[in-house]
Amino acid sequence: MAGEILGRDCYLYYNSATHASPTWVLIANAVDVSLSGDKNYGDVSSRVSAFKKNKAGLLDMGLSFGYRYKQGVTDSVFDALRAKALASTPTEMFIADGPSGTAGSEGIRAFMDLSFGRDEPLEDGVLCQFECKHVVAYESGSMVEPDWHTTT
Amino acid sequence: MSAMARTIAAAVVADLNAATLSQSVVFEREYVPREALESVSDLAGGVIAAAERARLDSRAAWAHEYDIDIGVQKKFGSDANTESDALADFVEEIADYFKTRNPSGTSARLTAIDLLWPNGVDEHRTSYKLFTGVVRLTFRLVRTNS
Repeated sequence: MAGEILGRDCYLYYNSATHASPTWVLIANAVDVSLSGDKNYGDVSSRVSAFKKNKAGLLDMGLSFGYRYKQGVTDSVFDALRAKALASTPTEMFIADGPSGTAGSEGIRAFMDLSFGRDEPLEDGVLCQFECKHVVAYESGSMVEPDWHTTT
Repeated sequence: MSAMARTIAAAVVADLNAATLSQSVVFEREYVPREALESVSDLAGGVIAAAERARLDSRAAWAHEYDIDIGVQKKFGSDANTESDALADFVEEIADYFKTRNPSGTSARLTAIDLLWPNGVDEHRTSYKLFTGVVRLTFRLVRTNS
């Protein structure tokens, strides 16, 4: 549906195949997904102006999300994310506003390195907190840059 | 009450009736107290599924909370305070009983215990000389979206 959406209406995926021909695997048990984009600025001020002048430098990108942990249940998605985190395997993530199989779904697509911890509150569900940071990645010898991806 | 609430309430009933407590009473699952206030005489116990709430737990699941009320009622005689004290101790005993266990027969987890004393209600105490004590057990269960 078009218009304002809630976080629960969004979709988070990881790519289990290649950038050129992706297989987007849904991270269904995600909680509170947050994509961050930071930018550095260089100071290019001079006497020409009374105002400080900045020029955009490099972009930084991060992703954080909670994952609702289940004991004694086969969870192939968690198993895959955990393995990628422990092995520091660059993983392409798609932070989408709609299903990947629906044309027109949009969002940032970028290679990330994953790390995670686990919160065990006394009276609430156990939550694995994943922190992700954009990392360099190559495919077929070419660097894969983050982009705003629209499904077709 | 929903099917899961009935399951949890039934598990609480079974657990209570199998327990060794200081007072002898058979608990039954009810929608409302089975006896009218004016008819209560001997110690009576009932278990009612009082409320149910659901909150988003993740994009794929909801966390449900179920309030199960364990009610204890008895008509007191001439020494209201002394009798009421003993019944209040029994209500506390029931609450303490569940602090160390989760009823079997349900995958829901016990997360909170409240003691409620509606004896301030004139209708119970002054009109019917009735002691009423309630232990509210709150259970939590995460259910995946189907």
